[in-house]
Amino acid sequence: MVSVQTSRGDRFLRSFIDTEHGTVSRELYVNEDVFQQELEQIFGRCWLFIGHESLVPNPGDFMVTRMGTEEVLLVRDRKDKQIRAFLNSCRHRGEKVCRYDQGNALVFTCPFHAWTYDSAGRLVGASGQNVPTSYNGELNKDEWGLVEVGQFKNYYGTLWATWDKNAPSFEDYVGPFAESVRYMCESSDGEDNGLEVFTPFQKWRLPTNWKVPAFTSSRDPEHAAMTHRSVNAAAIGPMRELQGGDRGRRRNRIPSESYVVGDHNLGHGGGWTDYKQPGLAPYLDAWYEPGVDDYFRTAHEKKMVKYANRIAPPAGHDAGHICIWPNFIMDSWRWRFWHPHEVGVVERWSLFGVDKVAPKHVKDAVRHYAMRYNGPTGATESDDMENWNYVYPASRGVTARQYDYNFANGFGRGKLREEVPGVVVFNDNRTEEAHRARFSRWLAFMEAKSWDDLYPVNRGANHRIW
Amino acid sequence: MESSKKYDLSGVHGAEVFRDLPEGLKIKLTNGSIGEIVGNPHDGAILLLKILESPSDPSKVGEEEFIFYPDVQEVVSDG
Repeated sequence: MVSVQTSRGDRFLRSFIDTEHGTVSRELYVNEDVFQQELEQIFGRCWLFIGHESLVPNPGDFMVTRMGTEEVLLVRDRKDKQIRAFLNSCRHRGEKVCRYDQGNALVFTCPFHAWTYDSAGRLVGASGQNVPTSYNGELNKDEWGLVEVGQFKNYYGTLWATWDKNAPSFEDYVGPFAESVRYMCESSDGEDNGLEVFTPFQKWRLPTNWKVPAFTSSRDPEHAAMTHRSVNAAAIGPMRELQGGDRGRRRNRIPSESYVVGDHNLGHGGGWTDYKQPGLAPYLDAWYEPGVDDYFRTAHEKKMVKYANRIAPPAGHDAGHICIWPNFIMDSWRWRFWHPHEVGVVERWSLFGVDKVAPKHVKDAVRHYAMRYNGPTGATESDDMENWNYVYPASRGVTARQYDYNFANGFGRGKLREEVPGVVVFNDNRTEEAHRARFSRWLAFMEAKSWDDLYPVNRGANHRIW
Repeated sequence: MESSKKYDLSGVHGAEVFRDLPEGLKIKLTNGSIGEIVGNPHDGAILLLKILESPSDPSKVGEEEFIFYPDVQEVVSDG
């Protein structure tokens, strides 16, 4: 059992979650001890989404991304063209070796003492390296390269990394959601790895705990009914005011049933759609800008051929909105992740995908839609930010933190399926099952000594707490 | 080889000249080696050289090496 110190003494983490009534203590969101343990137990072990290959397309291209509170340098090597990820911290005195967000570099030279690293992270030089009264050629460069992540994975263009060399493979980590992630990396004509993302992408900081958005944005329809009421009325879909501003036009009309699922062993969850037959429905015009539907219709017809005898995965046909534990949420066109900075500060990054091969007028239309829908200058997420911003200060007071949050929507109604491995709980499609699954995984990580205690390395584990 | 008149690394502007040295120039190092610039990150600190002459260690000829500005004696070609 792992404990933290609170204003009322030491408490076991397990005591913060009331599994009989479906509630969670606010301490989990406002307590500094909890946050520090999360950085070690969760962000130090999990596979984390760190970017997309299209952000570093050429040899020497780099971008600075994040894993937890730490900066990570993502760079495509000039020689073997592979993408690698390193801690953005000089091995000599810890200075950042890269202080730009994105670019192309021959080498990364620390501005402190000029320790210099190539695009494969190797130490290739240092100031005074050959000077007789300094290093005199005795600095062992092979031992002092940049710290590389424990494991790295390029999964159909999406980039993932973990610090933990003993973490399971990425495919095992994602489990039954792997096919959905792959599907959402397809271009509109159904080609694998067919997307690129717009750059620069959106970033902003919010004064709230990382779990406020990251745990409750995973399929949360009831928030939309209120939070996004005005924006939906204002019709900001691709069609703008035409056809009532419908933003669901691209969704497939294949017969289906939708659920909210929570994988209590893996922590993932969100929307899950069972399609009842193979194939795709005909394309429906969805775009206001001239010529954009022509492009997407042609691409869709190619995809219809590819899917003629295939049933789409559960997040197929724009039915996505799944979260990959701990801090990534994915739709077919929008990939969002949350980087914790402090217990009450989180940084949100949003990537928007578009077909690599799309012509400029199509890319422009998608980009403009993303801008007016998402981000600080968009409409929808400004609504969300208003909530996230005020949750934290309204929860951290000595009185407020005594009252638990309610996560009981659909509590006790979930069902397992024999054909789905693990502990994937299917519940009604407006419930909070995915949120609860995240707390099952959260507690497992916070109490585990190593991956040996955690599913799927421990195949017999059952982390479901409610 | 003679000193370059076009690329003077001495004086107060020497650091700016060093920062902008183009690829293809030949450089003499303080240890007597001669190298050709094959990469310049334009950070004013380092250059990637292909070693052309190395009196103290002939095995280095043909290798690429990162060198720092204090290691450079002068530019010996005008490009």
